[in-house]
Amino acid sequence: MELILIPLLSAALAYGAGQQLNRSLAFALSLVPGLVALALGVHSIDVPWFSDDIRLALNPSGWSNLMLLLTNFLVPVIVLAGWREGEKFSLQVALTLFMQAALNGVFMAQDGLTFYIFWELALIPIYFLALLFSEGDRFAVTLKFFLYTFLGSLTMLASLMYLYSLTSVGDDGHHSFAYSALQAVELSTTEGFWVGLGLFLAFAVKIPLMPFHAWQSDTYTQAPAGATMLLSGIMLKMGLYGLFVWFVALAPESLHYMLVEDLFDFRDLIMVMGLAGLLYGAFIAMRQSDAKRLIAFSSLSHVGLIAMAMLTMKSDGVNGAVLQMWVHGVNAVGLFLVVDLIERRLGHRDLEQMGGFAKSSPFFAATALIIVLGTVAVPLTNGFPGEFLMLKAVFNTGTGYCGVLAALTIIFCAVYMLRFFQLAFMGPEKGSLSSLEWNEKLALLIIGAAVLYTGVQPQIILDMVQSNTDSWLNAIAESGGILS
Amino acid sequence: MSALLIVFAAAILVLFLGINKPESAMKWPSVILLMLAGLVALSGVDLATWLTVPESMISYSSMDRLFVALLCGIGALVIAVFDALSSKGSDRLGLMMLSLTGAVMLVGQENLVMMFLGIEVMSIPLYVLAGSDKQNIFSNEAAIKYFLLGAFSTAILLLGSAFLYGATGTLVLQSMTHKASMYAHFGVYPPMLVAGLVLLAVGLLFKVSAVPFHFWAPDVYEGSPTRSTAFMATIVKIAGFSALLRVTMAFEPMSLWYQNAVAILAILSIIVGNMMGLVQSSPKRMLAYSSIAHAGYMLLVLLLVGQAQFEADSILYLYLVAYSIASTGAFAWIEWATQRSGKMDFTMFNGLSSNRWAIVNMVIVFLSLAGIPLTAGFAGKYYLFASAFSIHPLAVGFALLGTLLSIAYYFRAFRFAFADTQESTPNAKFSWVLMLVSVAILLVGCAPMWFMP
Amino acid sequence: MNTVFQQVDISHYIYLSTVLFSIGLFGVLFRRNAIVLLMCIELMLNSVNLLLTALSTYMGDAGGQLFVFFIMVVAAAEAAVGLAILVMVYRNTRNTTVNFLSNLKG
Repeated sequence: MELILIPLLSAALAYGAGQQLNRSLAFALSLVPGLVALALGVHSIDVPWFSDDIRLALNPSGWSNLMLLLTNFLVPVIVLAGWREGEKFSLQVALTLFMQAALNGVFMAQDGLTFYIFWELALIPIYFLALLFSEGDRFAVTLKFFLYTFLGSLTMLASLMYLYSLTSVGDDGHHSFAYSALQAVELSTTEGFWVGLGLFLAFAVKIPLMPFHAWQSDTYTQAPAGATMLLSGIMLKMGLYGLFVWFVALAPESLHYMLVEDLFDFRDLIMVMGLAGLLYGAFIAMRQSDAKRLIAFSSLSHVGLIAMAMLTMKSDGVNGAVLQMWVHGVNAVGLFLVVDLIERRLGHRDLEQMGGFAKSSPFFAATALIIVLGTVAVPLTNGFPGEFLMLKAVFNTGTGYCGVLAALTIIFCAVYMLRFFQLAFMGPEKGSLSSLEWNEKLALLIIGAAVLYTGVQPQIILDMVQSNTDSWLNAIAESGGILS
Repeated sequence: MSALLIVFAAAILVLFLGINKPESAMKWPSVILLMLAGLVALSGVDLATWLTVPESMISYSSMDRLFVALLCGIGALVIAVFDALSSKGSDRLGLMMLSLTGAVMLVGQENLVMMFLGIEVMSIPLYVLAGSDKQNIFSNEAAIKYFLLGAFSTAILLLGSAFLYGATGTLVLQSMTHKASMYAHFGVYPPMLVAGLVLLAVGLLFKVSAVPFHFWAPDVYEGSPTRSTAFMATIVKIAGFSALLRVTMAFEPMSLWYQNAVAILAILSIIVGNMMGLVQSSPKRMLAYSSIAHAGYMLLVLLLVGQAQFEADSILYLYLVAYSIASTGAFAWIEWATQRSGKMDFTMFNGLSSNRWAIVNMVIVFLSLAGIPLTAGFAGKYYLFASAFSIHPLAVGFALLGTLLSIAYYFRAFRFAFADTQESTPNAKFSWVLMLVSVAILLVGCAPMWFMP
Repeated sequence: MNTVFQQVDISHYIYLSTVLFSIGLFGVLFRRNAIVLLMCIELMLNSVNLLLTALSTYMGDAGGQLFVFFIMVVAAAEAAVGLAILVMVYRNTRNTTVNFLSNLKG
């Protein structure tokens, strides 16, 4: 509960402080929730909210703990370096902190409606951040983004309401919105398909999976750096988290639904979507000269693999996917930060016009290299263990094509990420960068440290989620889901 | 009953004092009197024990008293908000309170005669209020349109009442229920009963501006002075839907027969209201269409009548609380923006964001209309849609889609508000009242159970 | 005991008042002069009065006739307000037809 109330309060404080808010104060405010949670532990809560059977239930499990860590680790980094200090700095910080509250709520929710409410709530600050501080035709772009995601949310709400109406009636004569009750509902395959489709749409739009990605590149590119970091670093994880916890675990029956008789079921469709996004994102990223767009498409490519790994429903694959959610969050924030730091100094982000920054700012180049290597999944960086686990699971599932094609991503990723690094930091010097501010250095350092530490000690993360994953997979197996 | 007397006495008092006192002197006393009436209604104290009123004419159940309190509260809010924005004229306050008297009567009606009286006492002052900007040709047009169509719909409602009287032999709603259940038992409905019910419903649907009886609303809302518009959009909807629900409950034994018709009307209202709202260039007109869409959502409540597991009246009550608070707020912002910029289209909002606290209030109001979580609008929509979902999933599907569309036009206001900066600060009184509106919206949104009777 | 009213079948009253009501209704829909519209609405109200009186006589229930008194009073008030609005419009436009009602559109 404190993980929601404290950021809300901080947001109000930050907004109220107005021009008096400076960088260090904002950073301190954003650190508070994480520190409090570390010191006192996260308190769960379960009280009646909309009615006796629709409760405000927040109770972190293993996965949520990792996601809470991600949120409360990345938000301070974003506050620290994501926003340029200016006239509206306090508004940006306030909205970011508001976002932090909503995200924490999403990851802790143990009740269908609680989840939905925080899910929607997270849209509001990011909408305003994108609307107020984007470049170009911002109203149309942000509205497209908002309507896309809101449409998904509505189908999710409809599915949740339907599941709710099927939950067993308790002693008090009411249905229940509790996660465990929703999970216990037995659906027929066809029924499950429609319920699952509603849930799936919400997450597929947010991730985004391949045919639902239309909002992504425009929003990522035109939104200010801080908003892009929030979107790709944390909000995207909301989608992936939901995909497994609120879709696969709630409606595993839907995965059997045959779209083409005896050949192609719903799970295959999602796998194909992930694979398509993975390849499409990689191809587009290789051809981009706009650095921010490049990172946006690389993100599309990476999440495709994560979604595929989740759908393998193997302990390895799912654990790898969760690990990779953490890794991708850290790396995406790092990469967008690197691009933004360059853009702040050059005024543009055209790769062709860059080069040789390694000479003028070696520290910057070194940290950027660490993040790039992490993204490419070089051993001993954070990307490696996750990608390895995921690819192993994908290989062992279904036909071999998927695995082979998915493995190509490593090569593609190396191509475009190294191209990015080479064009920007190596080669003949095309202009030099002025030195980094303290906050920018600190942020790069934090990200770099996280990349290396996770690379050396991935087991810490895996231990956090292992038991949770297993219990879900068992529950799915019992309710007749696939464990092949 | 006591609340009705207080409101009526206050109306008469204000009308007569208005002969030689300026209106501004009477605003706050009337706000206080209305709040008092609301509190009396909430507490259920009977101040007029000497007065015996036949139960078959008018009586207030505890639920009705909540509606009365809501009416008084919103009436007071409208007066307080628009007082802060200074308006001309001196006879309007009395007319508003008189109209409110009619609305309070309508909430307590048990009898077609009282229903007719309530509607008329509510409407006639509104015709005048619509035209109260006498020199303004738009206001004139609004008044005459509202008057002609209002009187027309009243006539239809009366013919319906007469038919029902002929078919059931009584004017008392409760006795009609017995007759209706008798007919329903045999499954035969005399044409006169059916015609009467349809005509009565048409008359009431006119008042609450549901499609296809909505066409007057955009013109009248746009042309009338904004204060009158806010009053129409809230008070008339509250009283109208309360009456509609009362009538539906009376004919609940026939529910199978009209259920689909209600669902179709709701879907139509939602589609037309939201689609037309998308293409408007004037915010006032946009809100008129949005109010049509909201009427569509509220029609879904009628589907719940007769289902024991849902309390249709408390669901409707919460929705109306959310809708009317946010609507009043939205109209207040439009009035303020118009006065500030002199414009009638969306550019009136230009640069509203320059005031840090004002913009927060405005955003909350519009988010609530759109039904975003943790605002009152979401709470109202949630209970309504979740309950109707099990009865008519298709209609709820349309309602959800309508909500999606509505976001596109509510958010247009933000586009302009943040577009450019242009310093202007609303006066303190206005800011305070609007702050109160925001707090109320968030409170209802965060803890809806406290407000759910 | 048969009164003179009851020698005519009730259905005739119903048809008559429905026809009167329809005349008023079509008048409202198709005429253009606001004063004629007002008269048409009055015709509709009075046809309802006729119907209520007849029904109440046939059923031996006073309620309907009571209703008629209320309708008459309210109709008078309504007509007064309506005419006042018309006068106001006439002052601004020098016209009483409803054709001018086209300024407001979206």
